[in-house]
Parts: sequence; structure tokens; C-alpha cells
Amino acid sequence: MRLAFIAIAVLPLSCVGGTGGQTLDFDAAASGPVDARAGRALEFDASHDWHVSLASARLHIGAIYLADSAPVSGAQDTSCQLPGSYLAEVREGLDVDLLSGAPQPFPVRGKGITGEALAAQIWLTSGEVNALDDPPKPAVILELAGTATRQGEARPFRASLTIAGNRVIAGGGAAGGATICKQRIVTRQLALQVEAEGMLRLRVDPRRLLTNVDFGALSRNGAGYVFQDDDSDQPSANLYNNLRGGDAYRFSWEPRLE
Amino acid sequence: MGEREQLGRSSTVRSPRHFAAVFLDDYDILMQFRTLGARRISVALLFNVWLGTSRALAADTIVPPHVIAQTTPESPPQRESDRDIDVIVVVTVAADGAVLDAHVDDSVGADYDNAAIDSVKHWQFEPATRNGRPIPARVRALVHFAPISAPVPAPAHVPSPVPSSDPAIPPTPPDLVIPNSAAKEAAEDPHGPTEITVAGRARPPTRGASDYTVTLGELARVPRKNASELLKLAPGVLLTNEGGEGHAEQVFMRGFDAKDGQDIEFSLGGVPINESGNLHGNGYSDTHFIIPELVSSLRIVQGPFDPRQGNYAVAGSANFELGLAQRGFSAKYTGGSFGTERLLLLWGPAGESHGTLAGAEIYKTDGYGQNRDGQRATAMGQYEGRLGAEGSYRVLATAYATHYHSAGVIRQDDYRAGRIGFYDSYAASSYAREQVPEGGDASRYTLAADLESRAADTTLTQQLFLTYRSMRLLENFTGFLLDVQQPLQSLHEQRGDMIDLVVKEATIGARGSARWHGQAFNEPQHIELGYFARGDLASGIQQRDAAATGHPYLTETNLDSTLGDIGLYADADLKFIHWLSLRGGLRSDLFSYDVVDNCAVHDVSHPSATNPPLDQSCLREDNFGVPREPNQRASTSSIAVLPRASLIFGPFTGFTLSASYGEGVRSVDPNYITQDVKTPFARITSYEGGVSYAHQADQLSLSARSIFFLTYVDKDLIFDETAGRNVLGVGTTRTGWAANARATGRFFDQAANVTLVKSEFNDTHLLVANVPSAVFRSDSALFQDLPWPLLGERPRAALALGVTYVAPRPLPFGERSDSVFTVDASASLSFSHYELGLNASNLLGTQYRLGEYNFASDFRSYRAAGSGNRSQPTLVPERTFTAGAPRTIMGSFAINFGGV
Repeated sequence: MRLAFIAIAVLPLSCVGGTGGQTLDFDAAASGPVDARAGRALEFDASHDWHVSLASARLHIGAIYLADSAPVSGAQDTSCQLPGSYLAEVREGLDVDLLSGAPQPFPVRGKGITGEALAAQIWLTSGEVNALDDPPKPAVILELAGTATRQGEARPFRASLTIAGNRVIAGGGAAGGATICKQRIVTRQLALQVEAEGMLRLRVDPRRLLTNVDFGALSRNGAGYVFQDDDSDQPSANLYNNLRGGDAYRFSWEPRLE
Repeated sequence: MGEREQLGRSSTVRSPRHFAAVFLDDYDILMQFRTLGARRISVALLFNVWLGTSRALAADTIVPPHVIAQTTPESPPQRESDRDIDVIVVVTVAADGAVLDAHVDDSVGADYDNAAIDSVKHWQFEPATRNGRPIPARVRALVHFAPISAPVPAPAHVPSPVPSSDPAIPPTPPDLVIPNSAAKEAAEDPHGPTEITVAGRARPPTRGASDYTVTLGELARVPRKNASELLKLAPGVLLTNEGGEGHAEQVFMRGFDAKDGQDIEFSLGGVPINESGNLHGNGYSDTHFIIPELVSSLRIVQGPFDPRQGNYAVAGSANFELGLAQRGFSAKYTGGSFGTERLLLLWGPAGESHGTLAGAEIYKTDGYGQNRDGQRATAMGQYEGRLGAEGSYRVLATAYATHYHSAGVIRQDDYRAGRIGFYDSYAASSYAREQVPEGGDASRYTLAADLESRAADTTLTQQLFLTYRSMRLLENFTGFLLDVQQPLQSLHEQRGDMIDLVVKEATIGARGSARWHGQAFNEPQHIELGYFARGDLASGIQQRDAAATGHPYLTETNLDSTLGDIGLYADADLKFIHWLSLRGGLRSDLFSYDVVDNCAVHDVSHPSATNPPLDQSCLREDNFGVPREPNQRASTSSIAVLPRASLIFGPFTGFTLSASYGEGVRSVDPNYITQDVKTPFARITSYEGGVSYAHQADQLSLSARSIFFLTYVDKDLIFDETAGRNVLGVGTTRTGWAANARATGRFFDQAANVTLVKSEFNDTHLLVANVPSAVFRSDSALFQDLPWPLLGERPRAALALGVTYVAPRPLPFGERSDSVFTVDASASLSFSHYELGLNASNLLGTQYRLGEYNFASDFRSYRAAGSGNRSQPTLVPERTFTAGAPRTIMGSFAINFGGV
């Protein structure tokens, strides 16, 4: 009898309930910091007493992924993809004007499922993430231009960074391979609730890209100073490390723009 | 009271004046006992049907007479014996059901002869029929006098004429109304008699409302692609197939996603079909080797309530019984849509039983879309012979081989964006072309023999079986997703996730039982002791093939397994009063595993030039001078104790109530075995309560059931797309209701069933994905002789319809699948030795999704999107589906060449 009551009680519910979570399509946008204004240089004090006036800053983001598992701290032999499941993705690239605080939408909507994201991956590539070179030539990921001044000395600078064969660590991989994807993927730990409503917002602060950069060590090239597209000097190495370090990137889940 | 014994079976007379011994398997008129007083008499019926055969042309359908009421025979006074005495009484039953004559051919003594004759003369029969018309017939009734010191003997039972297994047939004799014209026609038949001897095999007593023995009858005309589709005659069954023509059907039953059959104990005439040790799924059950035309009945027990049910009986069990009513040699050609052709040859030797048969088929199809072609050949043969007066034996051989391709899954976003067609396959697309497409090969060869005999009060059964099975399966659910670049590997792109699985397995086993028939409380009592034993040698290797070359680049699993399953059971059928029975007992299985993992080491602790890194599989490691071989052996065994009981009571005419409790078991995949693991099985606990109704009136038989059920599983199987199969998960609970009804008349047969079920995880109470919450199925057949003679004979026309509705299924991440609604239909016209048929599957041409999923996959379709390679891989879940077949029209022509 008890069984019958239980069964009768449950029957109306046989078609209700769920498996947990919800799939969603969402808008995604990236921008510079909140205080950045399009068309105006970004002025700030940088390391080593340099004052920087950033006249242009453009970052190419190939894709964004949010995952429900955090990267293993200190692990050397992890793969480029995170363990666990991916919650959200924005798969087509965007050139972000880092001097504009206005949201710049990605060309496609993102897709995903609801849940708490514990890691975000920013893919800094325009092609196959594991290919050593982007045909026909490596895509420029970061472009900066501005002027750094210190004690009356002004140093106009330019940076044009790529991530391709120039970033392969010699001897990387016991089999002689090179995990170029490790160079191209920026992984940042976070705690972000992906909700059914709203949009993904990424803010990239170019000031943090220039942390601990000593413009005085830049090489002169013509009328200005140039960051090398490799790690051959301190400012170039630090700029590249800052690009991959993750401190410049801030994610948030915000109400959708009207 | 309320228990129903199946009698109605049809036989076919191939030619006039021919004597044929036809053994009808799977009905339990033999070995049934009922007692009045302390004197026990058992009666077994051997139908020896005398038939007027003026119109006994090929393919006549003859139904033997059935006892519908019987009187208590008087035992010979002062002649009680200390031994068993059998008296075979030859009874002539008129076309109106009256007993015209009764005599004994082989006397055992005048007193016993007369006692038996006097009793049988007062029995009431439903007359035999040929093609639905009553005819006179001769029946042999075996009256058994057992040596029990009580004065009053009694007849054995009142078998029902209803050709189905409903346990709730009322004992009230129906009012027989035999058309005078038909009886007269039969009585005036100028031809001599044709005798058919009908014997039977004991069938296990029903376990209540969820115990279905489905006799196909005219419902066999409903279009069905394979033998598994016969399962749809039981409630709550949905079949899907993402794997192609030669892949096992994915069976959903009673709220379980049995995937490739792991949750259902399948057998053919008692020979296990489930494959223990199959790497694709422990208990994988491919029933494509069964020729559906050779299936005479199907017993489905939903839930683990019968102690005979062994490993894999989680959602239940299904046993196919072979039988061929049509005697002689016949051939059938079928051809139609999508280049599909099938040639079927059947042979039922005249003079042998329905269980003696042979069949062979050759089948090929181009498939209803890309990469769906397949071909197969099947041969089955069975000989059934008599063993003494009451026993029989069978020898069975089957052979089956297939080669096929599979379209695999389609992503919903790709289909909606027009990047791929509904019936297309990624393997044939330009952006994800596979050098070796999905599909596979399979073969199965079986030899089996069994016998059933009776010694005094005990029925003995024994069966031996030997099966060899091989299978290769190529499946890719995820495209190019899983081959992630590892830091220590040589640089590579995604090479493709194609699973290349090869399984070879040999099974040897036996089962047997001794069923004792006794008496207590003035009621018959039965106790059965039985065993089941099987040993399996299985090897399985699963690799991943590179799409570009078809070469394996990774070995994931390589197992050699020696598996054992030895089970013992005791089953009692106790009747305290005539309307109350307690059935059940205890089963215990020992599962043993000896598993050698030939690929136990997949990575290395300290890679170096001399210590190979991840580019290689199945490594022999040298970890700082400490050697490590690549293999690992694990062995264990454990015992499962499984109580089961059913209480069946029917104090009300026509109704039978039942309540059942049972525990079941499913052994785990060998790749989950570690040394001395304590419980290498999942345990199932199931409860149900049901009511059955049956009514027999004139030419109409009616049955209906309603069942509530509750089932717990401590370790359920949940589909994992990355593994391409079901893997062990957490505990689940199913709660639901099932109902079915069947009405059979002179010109129609209608069956319908519905199941509502809620399947949820025990910890989160979230729904189990992929399991349909509601399934409805209807099977209908109309058949009638037409009034217009053709070639001097009235042709017989038949129409059949099968309707399936499956409610939206819950999918992962809150999604719901589309519902499925399909209609299948057939029409046939038979005359003389010929039959023309027209079948339409998915008559409405519905574009439906047979299987639906929601998981991460990447078939590189973004490269075809015109985005100039800008899009990056997709890593989040996306709906995928396998396409159901579009409208398929098949025509057939069959000819029966007569009795040889």
C-alpha cells in the first residue's frame, strides 16, 4: 500500500524535474579598463619611475573558455586543456582596443552551461593553437605604442608581439616536441558564476602589461624604441610574461547590454 | 484461481492425411498438478488432433482444442498403488466442444482406464479450429495417478485457450458459441484424419503482473526490423541504435537505459546472449543473429523477481523461444527503399514439431543516408525431439556474421546551420572525413542442447551451451576533442577520437533444474532447485585511430579476462488456498574475475630518452632503475545473495493481484576490477504491486494489467561519450507505473501498453539523462478471409499497425529531447501457397531523432563555416543526435513449397 501511495504521488512528477544545469547562449565583450576613453591616450605611472602615455593598444584574443576546474598549481606536465568540463566558450577572435572602456562585442555569441567557473582561458592565437606557425606569417597578438618619460627623458616605444615559433622553449618536451599551446593560452583562476541571463565581460588593463618593464633597457630602432618579439631583453621578456601572466585580465558576469 | 496456463498455440498442416508430431514448446500444460483430498492426480495433455482435411492446404493455421472445464475423476476403489500410473485417454472433441468419444489405447488396467475415461468424458473443451473455424479433433489426455494414500484424485488443471501469458484468466468456462455452419462444414469433411501430436514444455510459473509471455500470433505482422523489436510488446520499451545495422540495440526498459543490453538478461531458448567481458559493455547483447520469423514467443520479466533470473537482470529479462508454425520449405524475398534486399529461407520439416526448424537469411542495405550500409547473413537450426512420453530434447545451432557502417551522431548546431544534412555522416564530410568510417563487424556462433524429462514427481531440465563471438566496433561520439596535446608528447594536432574496439569471446556454460511436484493443504506445491554456470574467456582491445590514416595512435585498454558466474537457486511455488500463491526463493551467484591488463602503464614517472614518454602506449617503465612491466593482473570473486518473492492472489473472478520483491545483480566491467575488490557487481532492489485482469468470452479474449514499481540500483551505468559506452555511476531510483492490455478476437488482435517512470539519482535527486519518462506503444492486426475466391480459394488479407510515442527525454544540462512518434504499417494478402506483403516503416515520414545526447564534441565543422579558420575548437556541451529512419517501403513475396 505504501508503495502504491509513493508511486501514485510520484507519477505526476514523472515528466518534471531536470538533470541539473542549463544550456545558454550569451553575449561576450571585451574592453580596456573602466577609466579608458576611446580616442584618448591612457596616462599612468609605471615601474622604474617611468610615466607612460599609451597612445594605442590592441590585443588579439582568439577565444575564451571558462572551465569548472582550476589548474593544478605547480604542475609541469599538465596538458593545455584543463581537466573537468568546460562551461562556456567564445570561439571567434576579436581585436580589442585596450584604450577603450566601452564593451567591444565578440563577433559570435558564446555558448555554455550554467555553473561556477573556476578558471578562464584566454587563447592568444588566430589559428590552430598547437601549430608552431600561423600561415602565412605569425599573427600579431599585441600591439602597443606610446611614450615613456622619466626625468625629462622621453622614449617613444612600439611593441608588436607574436606567439609562434619564436616562443618555443628549446628542449621542451621529453619527446622533443614543443607545447606551443602553453605559450598561447593564458589561464587565470577565478570564481565566476555563469548564469542563464547576462553576458561575459572581459577587461584587459594595458597598464598591467607594462608592470616591471624598464623602458630604459629597450633597444633603439630609428626614431623610437622597440620591444623585441622574443625574450632577448628585459622589457621584452617582461612584457611577454605580463601578457601571459593573467594579472591584466578581469572577468565578470554582468547584466546584458540593452 | 487466477493463474493462467497458456495453451493456445497454432500448428500448421502441410498436407492432407499427414501425420505430424508437433511439439509445442513454452506452454505449461504438462506437469501441472492440482489436488483434491490427499490423492494426487496429474494430467498432462498430449494433443493428438484428428482433423477433417478437405481444405487442408498449405499454411492452414490450426489451433488445438483446449480444456476449459473438467471434473474430478474418481480413483479406482481399493486400487491405490504405491507407484505412479499414467493413463493416456484419447478424446474426440466435436466441433461444438462436446466429448464424442473417449477411450484408452494402451490399457494400464481396467479400473484405472475407466476412472480416467469417466473423468475425461465430463470435461468441457473449446473446439480445435482451422483458420478460425471450429473442427472436430482428437486429443490425448494423460491422467497421472500418483502414489499418495488418499482416496480422491483430481484432474490437473484447467488450461486457458488464450494465446498469451496473462496470469489472470478466470476459471469460469466461457460460453462456447460455435456457428453451426462451420461445425457442419468441418464434420462433413470427406477426407481422412490428420493427426498432430502436441506436447509442451514446462514454463516457469508467473511472477505476477510484470511477467509477460508474449505469443506473437497475428501481431507478428506488425513491421519489425529485428527480434529485439518484439520487446516493444511489453510496456516501457524503447529501442534506439546509434551504432548501425550490426550494433546491438540500445534498449530502454522500465526507466533503465540498458544501453547495449547490459541491464537486461537476454537469452534464446535459455542460452545466454549477454556477453560477459565485452569491453564495449559488460553484458553487451546483440540480438541481430535471431531471425524474427523464427521467434514464436517471448517471455519478458520486468524486474528481478524470478530466482531463475541471473546476471544482468536489472531492468528485467527477456527470453526468446524459437518456433515455426508453417511446415515445409518456404522462401521470402523482400526488397524496397534504400537498396534494401532480404532473402529468407525457412524450413519446418513435416512430421516434426514446431520447435524443429531451420532458417537462413541474407540481407543487405545501402542505408537511408550516408555511411549506413550493411550486410549480414544468419543461419539458425533447431531440432526438437521427444524423450519418452513426456520429455523432449532440443539441439540448437546458430551462425551470424555482419559487416556494416554507421553514420554516428550529428551536432544540432551543424545541422541547423546547414553544414550537414539530417541523414548525413561526419565521416563522409569534407572537414571531418575518416579514413576508416564508423561501423564494424560482428559474428556469433552458438551450439546448444537441452532436454526436459520427468522422473516420478520431478521434472528435470538440463542445458549445455557454447558460444563464440567476435566483434569490431568503430565509433566516434566526440570527433576531434580528446586527443589533447600533452606536454611530453611530440607536437600533434587532434588526430581524432575514433574508438577502434575489438572483442573476442568464448562462452561455455550449462544450466539445469529439478522441479518437484508435491501436495499440501489440498493444493499442488512445487519446489525447484536449479543451477546456472558459465565461463567466459574474453579479450578486448580498445585503440584510437587517427582520422587521416586509420592507423591506431593510442592503445587505451587491452584486457584478457577469465570470468566465471556460478549461480544456485531454490524456487518454491506454494499454494495455501486455491486463490493464494507464494512464489519465490533465493538465488546466489558467485562471480569470479581473473583480469590481465596488458596496458596497465600509460605514463612514466621520470621520462627520459631511455624511458619512453607519452607518445607510446602500454609502457614498460624504468623508473630510476626500478623496472615495471606494462601488464597488471587482478583477480577477485564475490558472492551475491538475492532473495525474491511474489505473492499472487486472485479471490475475485478474472482479477489477479500480485506483489513482488526481488534483488538483482549485474557484474561490473572487467576494467573496473582491482585486486580483491569486495563487490564486483551492482545490486538492485525492486518492489512492485500489480493487478491483472483476464476475460474469455466466445471469440474474444481480453487481458489487462496495471503495475506500480520501485527500483533501487546502488551502482548504475551512465553513458559516457568519451568512453563511448556506459560507465559505472552512482545510485539511482526508478518509480513508475506500467499498464498494458490485449484483446484478441476472430478477426483482430490489439495490444497496447504505456509506461510512466521517473528515474533519478539518489544523491542529487536529479533526473537520469536519456531515460524517457513516458512510452506508449500500440500493436494492431486485422485479418480476415476475403469473400472473393482466388485460384479456387478465399485469400486471406491482413493489415497491421504499430504506433510508438516516446515523450521528450531528459538530457544533460537541463535539456529535453524531442518526442518521437512513429507509425509502422503492413498489408498482406495470402492465398494458396503464396503471400504478398507491403510494409511501411515510419509511414508518416516523420523526421525524428532516434537518439539524442548533450555533450562536448568537435567535428571540425567550424572549418567549414567559411570563417577562414578563425574559430577555435568547441569544448562545451552541444546537442547531438542520431537520425531515425525516414519512411521506408518494403515489398515482399513469399512462397511455401510444401511439406518436405
